[in-house]
Amino acid sequence: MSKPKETEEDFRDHIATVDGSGRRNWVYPSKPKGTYHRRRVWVALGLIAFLVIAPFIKSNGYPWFMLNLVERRFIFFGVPFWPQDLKILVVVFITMIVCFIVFTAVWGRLWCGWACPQTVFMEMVFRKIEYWIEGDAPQQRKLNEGPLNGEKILKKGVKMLVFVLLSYAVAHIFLAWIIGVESLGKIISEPIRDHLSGFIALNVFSFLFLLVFAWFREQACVIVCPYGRFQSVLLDPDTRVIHYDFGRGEPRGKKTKEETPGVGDCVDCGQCVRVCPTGIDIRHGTQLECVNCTACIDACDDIMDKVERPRGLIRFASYHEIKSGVKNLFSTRVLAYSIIMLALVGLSSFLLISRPDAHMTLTRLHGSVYQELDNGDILNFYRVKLANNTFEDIELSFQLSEGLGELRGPANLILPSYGSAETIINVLMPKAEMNSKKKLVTLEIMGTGGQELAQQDLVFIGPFLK
Amino acid sequence: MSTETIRYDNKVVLHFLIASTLFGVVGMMVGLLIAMQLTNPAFNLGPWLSFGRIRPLHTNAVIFAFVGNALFMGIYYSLPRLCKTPMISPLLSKIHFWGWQAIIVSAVITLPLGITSGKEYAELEWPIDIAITLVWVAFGINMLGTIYKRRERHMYVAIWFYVASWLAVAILHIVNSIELPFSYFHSFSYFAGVQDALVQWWYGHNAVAFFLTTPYLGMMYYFLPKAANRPVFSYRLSIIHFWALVFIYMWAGPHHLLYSAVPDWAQSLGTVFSLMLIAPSWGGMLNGLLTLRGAWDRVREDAALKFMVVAITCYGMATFEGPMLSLKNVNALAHYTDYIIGHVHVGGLGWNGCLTFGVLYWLVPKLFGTKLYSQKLASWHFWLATLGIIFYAVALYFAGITQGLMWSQFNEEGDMLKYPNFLETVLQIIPMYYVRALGGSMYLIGALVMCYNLWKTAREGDFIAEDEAQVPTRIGALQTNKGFHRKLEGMALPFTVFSVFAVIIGGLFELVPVIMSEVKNPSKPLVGIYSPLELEGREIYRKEGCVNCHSQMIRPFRAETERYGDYAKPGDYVYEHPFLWGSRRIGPDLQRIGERPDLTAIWHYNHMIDPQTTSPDSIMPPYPWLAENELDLSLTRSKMRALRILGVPYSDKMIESALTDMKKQAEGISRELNKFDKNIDPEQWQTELIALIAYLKVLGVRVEEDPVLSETKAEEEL
Amino acid sequence: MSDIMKMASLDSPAAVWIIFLFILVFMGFLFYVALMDKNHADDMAAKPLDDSDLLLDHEIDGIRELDNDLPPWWIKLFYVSIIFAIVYMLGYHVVDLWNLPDAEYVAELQKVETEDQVKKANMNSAGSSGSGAASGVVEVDLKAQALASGKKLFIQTCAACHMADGGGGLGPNLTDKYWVHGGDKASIVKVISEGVPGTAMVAWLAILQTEEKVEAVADYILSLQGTTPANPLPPKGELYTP
Repeated sequence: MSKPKETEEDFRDHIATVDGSGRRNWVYPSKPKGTYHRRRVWVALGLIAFLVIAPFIKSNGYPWFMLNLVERRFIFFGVPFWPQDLKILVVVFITMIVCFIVFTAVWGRLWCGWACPQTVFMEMVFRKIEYWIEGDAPQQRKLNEGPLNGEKILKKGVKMLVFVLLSYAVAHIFLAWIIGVESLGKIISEPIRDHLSGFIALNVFSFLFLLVFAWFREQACVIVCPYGRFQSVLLDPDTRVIHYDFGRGEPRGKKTKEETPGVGDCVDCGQCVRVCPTGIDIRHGTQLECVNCTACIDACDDIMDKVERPRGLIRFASYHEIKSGVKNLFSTRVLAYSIIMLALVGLSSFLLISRPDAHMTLTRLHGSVYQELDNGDILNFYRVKLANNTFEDIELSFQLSEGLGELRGPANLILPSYGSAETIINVLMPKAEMNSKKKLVTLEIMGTGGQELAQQDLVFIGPFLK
Repeated sequence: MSTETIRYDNKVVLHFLIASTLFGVVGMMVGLLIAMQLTNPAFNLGPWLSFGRIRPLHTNAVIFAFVGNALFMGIYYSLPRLCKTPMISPLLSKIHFWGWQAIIVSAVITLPLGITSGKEYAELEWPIDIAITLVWVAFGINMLGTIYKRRERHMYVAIWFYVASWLAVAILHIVNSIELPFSYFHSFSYFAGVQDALVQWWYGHNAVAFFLTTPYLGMMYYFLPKAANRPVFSYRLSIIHFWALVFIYMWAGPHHLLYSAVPDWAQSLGTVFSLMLIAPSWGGMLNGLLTLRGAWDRVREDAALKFMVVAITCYGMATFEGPMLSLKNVNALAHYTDYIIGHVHVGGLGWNGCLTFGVLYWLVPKLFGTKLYSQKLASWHFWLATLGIIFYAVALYFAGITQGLMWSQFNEEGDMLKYPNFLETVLQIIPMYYVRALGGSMYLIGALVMCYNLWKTAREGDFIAEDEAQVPTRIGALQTNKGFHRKLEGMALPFTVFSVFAVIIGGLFELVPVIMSEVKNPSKPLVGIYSPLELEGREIYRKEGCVNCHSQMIRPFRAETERYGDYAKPGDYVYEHPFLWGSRRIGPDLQRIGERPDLTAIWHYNHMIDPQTTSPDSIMPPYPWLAENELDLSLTRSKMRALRILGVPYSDKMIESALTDMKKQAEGISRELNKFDKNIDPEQWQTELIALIAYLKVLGVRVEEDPVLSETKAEEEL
Repeated sequence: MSDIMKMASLDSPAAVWIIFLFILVFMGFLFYVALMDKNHADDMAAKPLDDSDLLLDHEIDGIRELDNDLPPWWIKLFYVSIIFAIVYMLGYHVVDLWNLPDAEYVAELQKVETEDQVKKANMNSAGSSGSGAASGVVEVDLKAQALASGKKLFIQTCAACHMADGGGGLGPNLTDKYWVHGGDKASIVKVISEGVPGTAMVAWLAILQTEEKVEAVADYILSLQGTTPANPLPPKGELYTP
C-alpha cells in the first residue's frame, strides 16, 4: 500500500509511525543488503560475542567482568574495584560521555545505528529471525493482512516462541554480567523461594525486552531514548550524517538509460523509504528518527548501480559538504572538544594506572577525643581500614614518619587477596611536645617487602591551651 | 467585528527579565560557593557564609528569584498577547515587581543572619511570608483580572497552566506558613512532628510542581511554537495531561517521607500517585518534543531551539527518574543521598535553566527589535550548559550510589556494619564533589556568556517599550460545538473553579485525616519535653541550619538501627515545632545522638569548635563563634509561652523558673567540660555552644515517663 | 497431574518455573494474535493522512494547534499506572498481601536470626563426627567458633596496646595471673566495657557495640591465661585464683 500523496512539508506534522487516528503505522522495512550492511553485521557479531563470552572469562578465580552490587565487588577487564573506586568511575564515565559528544559532533549518530544494544538486537537478531520465518517486507505485510490460517498460526507461533526464548536469553546474559555466571547458575537451579525477588525481576526484564523487540521497536528511539534527542542537538552543519545529496538528486524523475536533461539522479524508486527501520524518508533531510543505520545508503547505491549512475546519492556527508561541496571535518568547536576529551582520557588513564595496591581509610576511633594519662602524656586512637586492590595477599606494617610521637600498632597484619582488614593504632605524644591543641603526624603503611603502600597525615589533638 | 489598537507593556517584562538574569547569576554563584564548601570546609567564611545558613539562600534564590522572575517575565509577556488585552493594572504590575524583589532582598539579608523557619524552600520567616502573600494576591488580581477582561474568548493551554499555578501556590504557601510568631522575626510552626512533615512536603513537592513545572509548561506552550514556528503537536493531549498533572501532582508529596514516621497509607499514596505522574508529565514532554520535531533541521542552527530541546529532554528524564525514586525499594537506597541532588539539578539546570535560556535568546532580540548579537557565543553557552549538567549529574549519581551502598553494607559475617564510622563514606565522595563543583562552574560561566551576549544584543537594538496590536473591541463568541472542554476554555470562572477542585483534593485527602487523628488521638510522647536550655539549644540548631546536612529520622532498616538506634515513631516528634527531619545526610543522622554514650559533652565541645580535630578530613564547617557568643536569654520565656499555646505542656512554674533552671543545667555542663580539660572555663556557662550541647545530649533520648513533667506534677500535687 | 502441581511450588528451581511461564506466555500470545488479527484487517481500510484535518481552526497570537492523537501506548501507560496504583493500595492496606515498613523490619531481623542459627547448626553438623556426637563435642566446636571471633576482635582492637600475644605494652600483660581490676570474667567484662579513666583503656563497649562482642573478647583473653608471650611485661596488680 503506497502512502497517499503528501505535500513537501507534511512530514513535519506527524510521525511516520503513527497515523492520523493515533494507531501505530507498522514499519515493514525491506531486507537490507550491501556493503554497509555487511560491515554492520560484523560489528554486531563482535559486540554480541563480547557480551555473551565476557561473563565466562575468569582470572584469579573471579570472572573477568563482574558488577556485583550486592557484595559491592566490581571487576572490569580482570581488575578488581571497590566502592571506594567509584570516584574514578565518575571521571571515566564523564570521559566516555565527552567522547560520545565529540564523536557525535564529527560523525553523527553512528552509535545509534551501529552499537546501541536496541538496534543491534533489534535489527541484527530479532528482525533477521523475522525475515527468516515470515519472509521479506511484502510477505510480512501479506501475512499480517491475510486471514488467520494454519500457516499464519505456525509462523507467528514459531516466531513468538523464538522471540520469547531470545528475550529470556538476553535478560540472563545481562544478569550474568551483574552477578556472575556462578550466581546465575545457582539462581536457576535452586528453589525459587530463596530468590523470589530475583526471579520476579528476571521475568519482568524478559517481558520488557520482549515487549520492546516484538512491538515497541523503533518507538524507543523516537520517543523514549534521551540519547537520541541529545545526539541530534549536538549536530551542526559540519557534522557528517546520512544525507541525501539534494543538489545531485533533484528534481526527481523516472529515468531511462538515456540522459533526460534537467532531471536529477534520484529516480524516486522509494527504496530508501522501504528499507528504513524507523519509517522516514531521508530525502527530507536530517530527522529525529534517523539512527544512521545506513540501510538507505546500501539500497540507493544498489539502484544507482542498476541505472548506471555513480554511487553516493545518499551518503555520509555534512550539510555544508552537500550544499557547497566543501569537506570540513574539523571545526574549531570540534577541536576544542577533542582537546578536552584528550585531557579527560589522560586523566582517566592516570587515575586508573596510579591506583595504589590498597585503599586506606584513616579515622579517629569513634567518639574518642584524646586520653590524658596520669603522667600528662596524651594518647590518640585511630582506626585504619584497608582494602586490597590486587589478587595477592599483602603483609602490612606501620610507622610514623617524623620523629614525633610513638606509634602502637599491630606487629603485622595480613591484607588478604581482594579482601579487607582493619585495626586500631594508638599514637602517644609526651607531655612536653604538646605545645598546641592540634598537631600533624604522618602515618606510613608498608606492604610486602617494606615498600611504601600509602601515607597519610594524622591529626593529633590534646587539651585546649590556656 | 470592529477592532481597536492596544499596546502591550514590555517594560515590566524587561524588568522581570533583568531581575531573573541577575538573580540567576547570584543564585548560581551561591550554589558554586556551597559546592566548594562541601569539598573543603575552609570555604565556610564566618557565620554569615557558613553552609548551613547560605544553602537555603541558594535554593531560595534559584527557585524564587531566578525561576520566579523568569516565569513572571513569561507570563507578563505571553498573557496579554494570548488574551488580546493589556494587563489590567500597571500599578499592580509595579507592586508585583518591586514587592517581589524586596522579598528577595529580605531573603539575602535574613538568611545569612540565621533568621530561618527551618523548613525547606519556606525558610523565610513570618513577616516575609506575609509580604509574599500580599504580593501574590496583587499578582493574582492582575493576572485573573486580565483574563476576565480578555477579548480572546477561548483560553490557550498556557493560560490554564498559569491559572492552576497561581491557585496552587497560594494554597500551598498559606497552609505551610501557618506559624505562631514569638518575636519580630521568629516563629514556631503551627504543626508539629509528623503533621508538620506532611504539610511541609505537601508544600515542598508542590513548590516543585506548581512553581518549577506548571508555569514553565505554560511558557513552553507559548514560546516553543513561537520560536520553532510550528503548530503544537496535539491539542487533545494538552487537555488530558493538564488536568491529570494538576490533579495528581498534589498527592505526590509523601514520596519525600517514605519509611519515615508518617502513616503508612500516606506513604503509599505518595508512591502510587508519583508513579501515575509519569504519563501526564511525559504528555507535556511529548507535546513539546514532537512540536519541535517538525523543525528538526533548524534545531541544528538555532541556539534557542537547542536549549529548548535540552530542556524538554531533561524534563522527560527527571519525570521518569522521580517516579522511580518514589518506589519504596529504590527510595530505600537513594533517600538522603546525593543521588537526589543529582536528580533535582537535572530538572533545575536542565528543565528550568535551559528553558529560561531558550526563552531569553528568543525574547531579547524581539524586545530590542534586532538579531541576537552572536549565535556563536550562544552555541558556546549551549555546550557549556550541557556539559555542566552532565558533569554535575554523573558526579552526584555516583556519589549517591556510593553512599547508599556503603551505608547499608554489613561485613562478611553479616553481624556488624562494614563502615560504622559515617565519615568513611564522606571521604569517598569528596572527589565527586570536586567534579560537581566543576560542572556547576561550567554552567555558571555559560550563564555569564549569555549575559554578555544579551547585553550586547540590547545595546545594538532599540528597546520596544510597547507592542501595538489590533484586537477586537469585544470578547469573541463562545464556541459550543467543539466539545465540552473547548467550551470550558471560554468560561474563565468555571475553569478556575474546576482548577481549584483539582488542586485542593490531594491536600485534603492526605493532610486532613492525619491532622484530625492527631487532634482526636494524640500520639503518646516517647521523649521528654525540652528544658529551657535544651530549647535554646534547639533554636541554635535551627539558626545555624544544621538541618541542611543532618537528618533526624531513622528508618526501619537493620543497617540504620545498627548505626543510629531504634527507628523513628510518631511519638518521638510530638514536641517538634518545626520538625527537623531534614532531607539529606551530608553528615550522619542525629535523631538519637543523645543516646550515644561515646559522644560526650567534651566530644561535642571539641567537635563543634573545630570538627577536624575529632573527625579529620570532615567537611563540616567549624563553629567557633558558638563558644564565644553569649546565649540570648531574653526570649526564652516567650518561646515557652508560644509553644504552650501550640500544645507543648510547659507549666507556669517551669516558665517562671526558666532562667534559674537554665543556669543550673548549663553550669553542670561547663563543670563537666572543665573536669576533662582544665583549660575550659567552668564559669562561662552562658554560651550558645553549651545550650547546643544540652540539646544534643537529650536528643532522641526515650523516656518511659517525662522526667520534667512528672516532677512538676509531683510538685503541684504537694 | 498432581506431580505437575507439585512442581509449581516455591521449592522448585527457577528453571522449572520458567518452562511453565514459557508455555503460559506462548499460549497467551497465540490468543492475542487471534484477537488482534480481526482488528488488523479492519485497520487496513484506515483513512489516508490528510493534514488539513489535523490543523485546528483556531489560532491564538499566531500559534496554531494540530490535533494529532498520541499513540495508544501513552494512554495504556497511564492506565497501567492507575491499575498499579489500585493494586498497590489494595495489596498493602486492604488485603495485607505484603509487609508494611514495620513488618518488613521485623522480617529483616528475623532473617538475620535464622541465618545465624543456620550457621551455628551447620557448624555443629560439620563438627560432629556423625557417630552420635556427645554434647561435649558440640560445645567445644561452638566454643572454638566463639574464640575465633573473639581472637579476631582482640587483634583488631586490643593488640595495639596489649600486643597480639597478650604480653603487654602500653597495657598490662594479660597472660599471667595478676589483674589490676579483678580477674574474674565479670570484672574483665566491666573493665573492657567501661574503661579506666586517666589511662589508655577506653570504654570499648561503644566501639564494639554489643555485649556479646565484649564477652567474646573476654573469653579469648581468659583463654590466653598461662600462654608464653614473646616479650611479657612483669606482673601488675593482685593475684587472682579462679
